[in-house]
Amino acid sequence: MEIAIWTFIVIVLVALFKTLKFEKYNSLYDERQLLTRYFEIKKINPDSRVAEFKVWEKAAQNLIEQNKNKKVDNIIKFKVFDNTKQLS
Amino acid sequence: MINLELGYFIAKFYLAGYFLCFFLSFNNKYDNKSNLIITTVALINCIFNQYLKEILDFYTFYLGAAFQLLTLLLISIIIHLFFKVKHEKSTVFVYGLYIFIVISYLIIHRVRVVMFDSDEHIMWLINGQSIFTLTLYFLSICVFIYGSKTLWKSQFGRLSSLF
Repeated sequence: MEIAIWTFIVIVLVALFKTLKFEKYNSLYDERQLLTRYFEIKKINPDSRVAEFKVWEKAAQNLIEQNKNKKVDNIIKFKVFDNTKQLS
Repeated sequence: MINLELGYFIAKFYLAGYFLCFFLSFNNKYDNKSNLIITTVALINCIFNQYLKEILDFYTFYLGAAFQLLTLLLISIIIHLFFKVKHEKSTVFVYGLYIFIVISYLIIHRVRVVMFDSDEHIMWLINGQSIFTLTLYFLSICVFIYGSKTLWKSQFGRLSSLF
């Protein structure tokens, strides 16, 4: 009876170490953790992300409109280089 | 064996503590399911223990307690594997505490039944063992509360993102 419980202790310890090793080297558990993290991030106030994107979009549009008005051709042209381009 | 009335009081206190831990970890929806599993199994063990205590006699008292604790560990491992829940570090720490308790039960059984066959000469050892197990159970309750502390973080942690 006593020996049975000592063997049972050994069995439980072996099972515990086997499960810990299984959990350490199995990719399933990492994937699950990543998925839970993904859903946590997804739940965090989606309006703030949209608002940020809208602000960025407005800034980009303003930049494009300003550039249309103030567009200046600053490129200096030399005929010599044009000739070389044609040759090559 | 310490004074029975004090023992029953401590048992009630610990049952309330286990139930509190179960309630806290049940409310924790987002992470640490491992703590929920071990608390539920330990709570069922606590309740079943009161019935088992009456069945056991002098020669099988400590062996039955040890067997019950080991089945607790095995059942919790099986539930972890079945639901594909990863073991937390706190849960493994509690397993270690329970295995220490089991070894102390087996030692006291050896001394009480095989060497002396009575309680009279080794009351100091039995008292010391009961104090040892009670402190380890108290430590396990503390670890359960530590495991369920993420309740606060998961409920109120994203206030910072709102403002």
